[in-house]
Amino acid sequence: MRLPLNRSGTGRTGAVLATALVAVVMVVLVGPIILLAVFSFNDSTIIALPFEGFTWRWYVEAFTDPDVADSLRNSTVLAAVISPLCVVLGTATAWAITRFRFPGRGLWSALAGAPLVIPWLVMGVSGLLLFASVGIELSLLTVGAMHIAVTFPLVTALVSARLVRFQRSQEEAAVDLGASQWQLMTKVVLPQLAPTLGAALIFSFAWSFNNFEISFFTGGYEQTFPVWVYSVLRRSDNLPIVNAVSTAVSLVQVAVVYGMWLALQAISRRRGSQESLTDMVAGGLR
Amino acid sequence: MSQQPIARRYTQVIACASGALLVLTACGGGGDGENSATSGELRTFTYEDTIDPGIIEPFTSANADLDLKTAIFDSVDEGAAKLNAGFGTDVVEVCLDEAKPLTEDQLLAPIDTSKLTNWDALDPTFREAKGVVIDGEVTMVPASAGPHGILYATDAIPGGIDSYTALFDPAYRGMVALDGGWLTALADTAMASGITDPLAMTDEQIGEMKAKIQAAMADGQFRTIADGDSDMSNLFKSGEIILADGGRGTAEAINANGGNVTWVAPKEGTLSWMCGFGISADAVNVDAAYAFIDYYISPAAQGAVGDLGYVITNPNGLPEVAEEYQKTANPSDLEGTIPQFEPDNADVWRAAWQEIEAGG
Repeated sequence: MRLPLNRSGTGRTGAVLATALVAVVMVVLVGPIILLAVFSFNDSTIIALPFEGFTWRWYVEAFTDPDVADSLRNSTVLAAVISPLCVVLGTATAWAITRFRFPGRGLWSALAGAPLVIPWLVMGVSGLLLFASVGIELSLLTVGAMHIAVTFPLVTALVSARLVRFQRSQEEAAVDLGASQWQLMTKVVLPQLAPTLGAALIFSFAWSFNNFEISFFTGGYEQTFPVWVYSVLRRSDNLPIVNAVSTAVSLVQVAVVYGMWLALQAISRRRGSQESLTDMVAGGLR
Repeated sequence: MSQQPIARRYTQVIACASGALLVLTACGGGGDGENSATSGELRTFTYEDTIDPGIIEPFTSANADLDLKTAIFDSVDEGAAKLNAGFGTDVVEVCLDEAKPLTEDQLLAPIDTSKLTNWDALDPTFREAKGVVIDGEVTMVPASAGPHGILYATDAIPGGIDSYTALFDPAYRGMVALDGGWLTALADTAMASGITDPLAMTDEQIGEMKAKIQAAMADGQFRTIADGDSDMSNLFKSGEIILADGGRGTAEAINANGGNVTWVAPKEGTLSWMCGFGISADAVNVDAAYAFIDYYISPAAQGAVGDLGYVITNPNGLPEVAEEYQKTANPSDLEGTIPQFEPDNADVWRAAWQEIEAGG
């Protein structure tokens, strides 16, 4: 059936507006990253047009610089350790908050959520003051401790949102059929939570890897990647090297996130879930 | 099934995990091995280029048993904030305008110059600069410096410029950048206004300079406030600006990358920054800290500092500087300049600058 002319016109206008909106958002979000990537191949230390010629040398310099290698290794190891810890801690917290009634539950929930709204700068300075006052020397461990403090609440929020939407009748049915707590968790709850936990793992990794404020203040003499970037930006000579390594890191991060996303979708499809992955990750927040 | 014990057990697990993490963290600190001038551990907290391998490699090679741990910052202000919050180090990079507040906060130990074999060789311009010596005690050892004047695009202004007043000349409206430092911006404006001793400005004069900059900004005179050397380089290269106040090193960096700018020492006077090292009040390896600082002001290390385009503080290092940097590295270049020490009413300066940056 042909649509009436006015509805068809409205639809086209809507489509044009929607496309324009998406284009603007893409330019704002992706534009700076594309510029960063483009200038990482520019044969000049100054980030301005005209383009001086194509070169790979900033990539060569970046990946032969021991400071870059050290900072990337530190950030990767830190995030790789922090993210699964946060998933465990955040999931346990979410389970406790959504499934049990105990004294101080409201206070515990508020405490668990507080790092999500406290500025990271404040968390970083607070962490530094804490470690200094109790005489703990700053190191990657202190950075890691603070990363856990600010990252596990994110997992708690994501998993809580999922658990709130989760049909309790499934848990009750499992218990009625004689499932132990362990079986309930491993056979019923965790499979349902898997995509959310996967997404939480990705976000935790990214939060830890990309964190600057907390890493700067609570870090000692081993730099993380964002701290290295910030520290070397003072000299214009370093700009193209930062561009090159940042482009490479961004590409890897996008590839990892996209790969994980595809894997989670595949898991979701195999389970025959009717919900979209987005719904499972953040549906409860809406 | 009772749910209460599970919650309690969960709480216990969290408490144990947190305790274990704290213990691990506490154990994660550096070792407390034997510290001496040539062994143990030495911690430095500096700008990134200060510990350039080209400068410090001979020191680390000669002291293979000394574990040099380096932490870096992007600005001395940030470094000071971290030190104030309790960050522990042995050697800290200090610039003249931060020496006083760090000393007042008791974060720096007095320097015993008798432990520095190269101290007497330093040019008096630096050794006796206001801020290096506070209340009769040496607070920092100057190791590098540079002049701050005006830079302009040579092709765009063929007639040249020799005065800070050009920054406010309507002929250059929209093509001028102000270097984003609270001290330099206000001091340059003061010199453009005929004040000969800008660092002694009264609160009222600072207010007038603030109003002058704000009026110029409202009038579109300034394209932007440049956030450091990198930003300034990009602004000149892109042609967005043709004139700015700034350091000679910035001009050299632009020209080294195909730019064409000229740096001049304005007729009203030239500011000069000086940076060097202080010893942290809670330094652990003091002997190694002195050894490091003494090395850094030695002729050999100063030669490498000069090769980075900075003015060196030990004239004996001049023969070690590469031919192309001989002129810019010469300590005598800064004679008669105005050292950028912290003014007595620095709070008023900073507040004024914050208002300017906030567009207020």
